[in-house]
Amino acid sequence: MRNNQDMPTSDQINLHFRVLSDEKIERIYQATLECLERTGVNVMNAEARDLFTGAGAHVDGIRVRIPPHIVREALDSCPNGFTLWGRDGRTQMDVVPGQIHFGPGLTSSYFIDPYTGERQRSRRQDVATSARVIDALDNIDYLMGLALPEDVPPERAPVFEFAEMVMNSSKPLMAWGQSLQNMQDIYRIAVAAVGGEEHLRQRPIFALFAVGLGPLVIPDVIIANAFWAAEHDIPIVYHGPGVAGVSAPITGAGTLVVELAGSLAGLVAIQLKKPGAPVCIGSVPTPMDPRNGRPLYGSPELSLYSAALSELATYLDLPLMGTSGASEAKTVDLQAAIESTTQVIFSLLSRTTIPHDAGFLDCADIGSLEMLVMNDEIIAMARRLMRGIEVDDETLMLDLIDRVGPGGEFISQKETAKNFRKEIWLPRLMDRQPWNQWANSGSLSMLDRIQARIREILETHTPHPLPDGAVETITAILEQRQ
Amino acid sequence: MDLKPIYKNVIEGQADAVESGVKAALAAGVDAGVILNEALIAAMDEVGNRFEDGDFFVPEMLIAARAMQAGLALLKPHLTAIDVQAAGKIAIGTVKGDLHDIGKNLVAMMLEGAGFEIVDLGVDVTPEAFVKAVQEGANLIGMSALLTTTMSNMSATIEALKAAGLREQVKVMVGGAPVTEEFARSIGADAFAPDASSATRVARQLVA
Repeated sequence: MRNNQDMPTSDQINLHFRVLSDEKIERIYQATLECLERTGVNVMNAEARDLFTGAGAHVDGIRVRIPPHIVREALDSCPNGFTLWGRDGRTQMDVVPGQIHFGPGLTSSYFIDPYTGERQRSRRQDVATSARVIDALDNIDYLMGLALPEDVPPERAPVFEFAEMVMNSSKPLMAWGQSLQNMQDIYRIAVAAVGGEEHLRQRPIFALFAVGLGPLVIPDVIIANAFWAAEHDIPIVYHGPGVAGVSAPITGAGTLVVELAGSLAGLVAIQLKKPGAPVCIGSVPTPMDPRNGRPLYGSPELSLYSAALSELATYLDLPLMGTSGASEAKTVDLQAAIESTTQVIFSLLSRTTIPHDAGFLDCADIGSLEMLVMNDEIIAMARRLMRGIEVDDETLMLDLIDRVGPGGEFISQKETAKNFRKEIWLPRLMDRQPWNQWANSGSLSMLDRIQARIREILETHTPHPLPDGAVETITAILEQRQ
Repeated sequence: MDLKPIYKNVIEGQADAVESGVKAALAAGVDAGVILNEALIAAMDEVGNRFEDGDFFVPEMLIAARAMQAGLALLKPHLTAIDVQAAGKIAIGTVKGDLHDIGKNLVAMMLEGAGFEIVDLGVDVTPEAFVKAVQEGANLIGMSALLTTTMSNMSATIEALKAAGLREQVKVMVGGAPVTEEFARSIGADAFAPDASSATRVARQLVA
């Protein structure tokens, strides 16, 4: 049975919000089970097909139809989440329903250079720069590359990406493999970063980020890597993708079914390989742009569908990777702020466990530290909204109101001094000065202040040191196959 | 006989209605070439114009193309070889190592709608498979990649075509999120298209 750990929630979400009623959730879940049994999934990996056959699924060539009882058994054997650790051995990120941790995205071809502001092809140093900045941000809890380096051997890019992340930050990581050899190298780098395999097994510092193909396909190498990860006690984030109107039906409900079915099919395969292996499901439920078929990261539908998926995951007592902090804008402009703020608020309201993609522009093709740092601020602000309004004898403050009386003032009262920091959120980057002070301090825009913050981090922040000899070991792993 | 209803039904993507309209026109003795030009092709030209003007979107264009194909299939036995010559034969696939086929599929559908014969090689296509398709008569190749890690296999295919002595007899077009005009030029491709609808225009120019 389920090994529930029942961890406390770090975020206080006291606002009431639902996209789906209980009835709609049940309807979508039942439809998903029907889809898995009637339509099934294409499984491109022979070992996975054998596992499905062994479990009693209907396997016809590559098509695997999964009866509901197999899905339910897999959900029973899958824990309700996992903990990722920082390589410092202290930082702890609980990936369980109720917790919320934001992170960036990966595999963007372009990166905006924080000093020149130029959009250029992603380089290895961009991953290092991103990791260093993320290490210093309060509201970004885990790492992804935010740049897919092109100045390294292409087939080994995920390994170089992982190495740069782990050397420049001590926060938990998400890795992608692309090949089994890369997975093995990434694992060895992680072992070096924590000072031994036993440490890594006890306190994993990374999860495997695995993405199926939409609609309803389990790819060969992707699931092979996930099997390898499961056998090495590495948690797995498994996405069942689908772009509404392209690789999923045009309706929100139909898209949710295809994405949930795709995610659960992967989860079932992993549970059949290793019962009890921790899996976080996920998806990036974008609609298409009817103009050209591109997925729309900045759309309101993404926020809406992502929140609905989070409610479905909560119903299944599973963590969910959603999407938050991305925009279709090409620079960090007004559009970028509007789109990413909407996503952050919806992710928090719906308690999405690990929203990713913060820092993305242009259909997830540009990584931007400006966007990331702006979202760090947006998340902080939105978290204040989520706390809501506490109502009890202490907060109603009737004694104080009576003491001050009609026509009085509250600003010099000790209750005010004691509570204002708790009640009133204080921004780090937003400007609240009166005009004259703002003008006298340089008339800086939000973007100016964001850029100053990035430079300040890059010039002053030092990540937690790696164990002695780790850098040499990591360098040797990177160089050995060149 | 009035061909307007066929024309209108192609634009609206009503494949069944186009089929019955074409059958009725043939039965009434209308020349197949006239049906093709005045109803089917004229309708697709109008669809193209509406798309360019922003009135039509990709799904509407695709169902119109499908309706047109349905009518064309009925006309084919009645048409001369010259009438039905395909705009070109394109072998299309995602390059070796790349599994992301959404964009590729969309391009294939758009090209088919534009009258190209499609040889869909699927995903993770080796340079050898592209070479084989050219040997089997493709005069155009379309390669797609989503990640920079697999993009380099586009140039491997072009090199394989050269090695097989086939480079001169085939046009190569490339696309996908990380691909640029400069990259296309640097690997010796003939053309780059940033999205599915421009891919049709580019392909037409290449085989013109």
